[in-house]
Amino acid sequence: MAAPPDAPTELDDITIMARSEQRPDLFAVLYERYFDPIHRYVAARLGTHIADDVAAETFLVAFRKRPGFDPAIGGVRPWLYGIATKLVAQHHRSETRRLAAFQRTPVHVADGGHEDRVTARVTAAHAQGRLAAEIARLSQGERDVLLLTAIADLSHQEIARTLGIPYGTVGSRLSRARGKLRTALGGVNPLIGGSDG
Amino acid sequence: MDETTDRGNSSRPAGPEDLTAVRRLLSEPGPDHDAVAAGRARLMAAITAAEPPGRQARRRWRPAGRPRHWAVGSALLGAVAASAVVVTTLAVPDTGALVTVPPSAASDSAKPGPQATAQHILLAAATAVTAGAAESGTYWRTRVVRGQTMVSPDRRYLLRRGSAEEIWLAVAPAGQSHRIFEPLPVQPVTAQDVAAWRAAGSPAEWRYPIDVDDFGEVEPGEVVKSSPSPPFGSRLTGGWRGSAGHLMKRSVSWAEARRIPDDPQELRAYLEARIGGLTKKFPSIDLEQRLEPMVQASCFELLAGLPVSPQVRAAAFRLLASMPGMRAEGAVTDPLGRTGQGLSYQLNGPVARQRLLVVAPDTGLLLADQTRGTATLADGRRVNIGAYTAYEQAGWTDEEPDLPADHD
Repeated sequence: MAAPPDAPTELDDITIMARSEQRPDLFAVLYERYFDPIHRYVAARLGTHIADDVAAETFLVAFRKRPGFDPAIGGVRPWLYGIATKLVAQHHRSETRRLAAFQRTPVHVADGGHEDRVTARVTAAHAQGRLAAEIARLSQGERDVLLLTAIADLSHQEIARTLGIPYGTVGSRLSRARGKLRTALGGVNPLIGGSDG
Repeated sequence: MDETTDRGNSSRPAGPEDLTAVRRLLSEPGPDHDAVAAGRARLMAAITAAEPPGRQARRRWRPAGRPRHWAVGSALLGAVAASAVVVTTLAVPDTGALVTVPPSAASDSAKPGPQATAQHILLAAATAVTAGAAESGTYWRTRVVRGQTMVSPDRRYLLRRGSAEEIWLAVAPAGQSHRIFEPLPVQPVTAQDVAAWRAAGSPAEWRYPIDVDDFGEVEPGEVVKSSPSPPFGSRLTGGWRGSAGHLMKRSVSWAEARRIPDDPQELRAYLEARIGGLTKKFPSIDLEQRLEPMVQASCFELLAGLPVSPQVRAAAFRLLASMPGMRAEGAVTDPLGRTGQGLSYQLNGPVARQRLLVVAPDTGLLLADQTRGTATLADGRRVNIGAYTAYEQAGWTDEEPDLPADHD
């Protein structure tokens, strides 16, 4: 396809949204801009296969709902993440299953490597399992804020717009979530590869 | 060591350690090419379907008087075609291509008779399709009209609104493919409708009542009018490069299009394999329930616009004939005013819907696919109302597209 005619680089998101009322095909530019990041965000939560479908669905929903987009509330990017997050919520079980799978992922000790290394990997795998378990235990709202921060790289302001919650709530949810993760990881965290472990 | 390698975007600042750990745990590689293309195809389908209907083209981009030659299944519009009853075959000097103008419209689409079963009609179409038609050209060109048909507010005639999408796919690897999108005027469907519209004073605006239950897809109180907007086009790039069209949401290369089996059983196996590839990507699809409808849908896709040989098209009709679930509904007029045989079938989705496929058994053309709404006009004439996709043209050509002024 077809980035449509007058589109790609020069038109900003808001202009595209406004013009897409008359020129629906312009909306395709937003797909080219944001499919990849939206897919990565959804894949981090639901895995790549479901993300193929859900990320595509995000743009279909966005296209249908574009008359309701209000630039006064926020940008196109957080709006798209908001739609994706709602769709992710419909796949709650898949997210739970995915996080559960991380907790039982077997440790690959393929090449009879150095014993220290093997030990480090086993430890890392355990830490990974604990982290996944803790993410699974977070409330939906905490998990949304955590992953919009860690994976989607959205600011607090953008997350407030994405989820339609007050700015302050973003901060409090995020610090609660991170507090729980730190506790789960303990002081020792081979995942991070820091010197404190 | 793997665990210390950032799996995420390396340009991103490392950030706090706990967030980095979350990122490392959950990040996946980005979408593959197929996923991007499949999602894009879904969006494009929605965009095309949603093009605001009823906008009139200020100027037709097609220069008046310039003849257009279509190698396969050229069916002229509405009233013109309604009077064509003979098959005309002529050679076109400038291209050397063989041009067939079938009488798909009026003709004797009723030939198999209203009592014919769906199977009879599909087998008749399979036999008709194998006859003749050129099999190569510079471009494979399709023109599809999507929109709605509705009863006029005074119930005297049938109107259609919609938009046309023309796609020119260049066969040569270095060739450029194009998509031209044309909003169409709101207009009466058949010659009979045109006459009734004229008798009503040729209105250009239609004001609907609050109760629009059996008018078709119009909003309560809607005022349908012509708000002209010119056609526009774009170069097809990305997933369209080297593509001969799409089958089950995936692009088909020219080489693959030539390899599609022309035996009904082998065709079925081929389509099932392709559907299997799709469901692997979309595990939410329940293959047990969806396989038959998807085989059926992929046959429609083949027939509607893929550059396959007449033998493959015939095989697709035969495969459809071997499947249960279609019912003959007698002669119907499609949204472009062409007459064909209606075959009703169930479209399974979140909500099962009754659809009507319009086939011309005497030419082997798939004319249209529409929702199955009917309404009665003031004079008692029964008409089909609702959303439609009409396959106006599909064929090889050596012409070059007339690109509209608004083209990238």
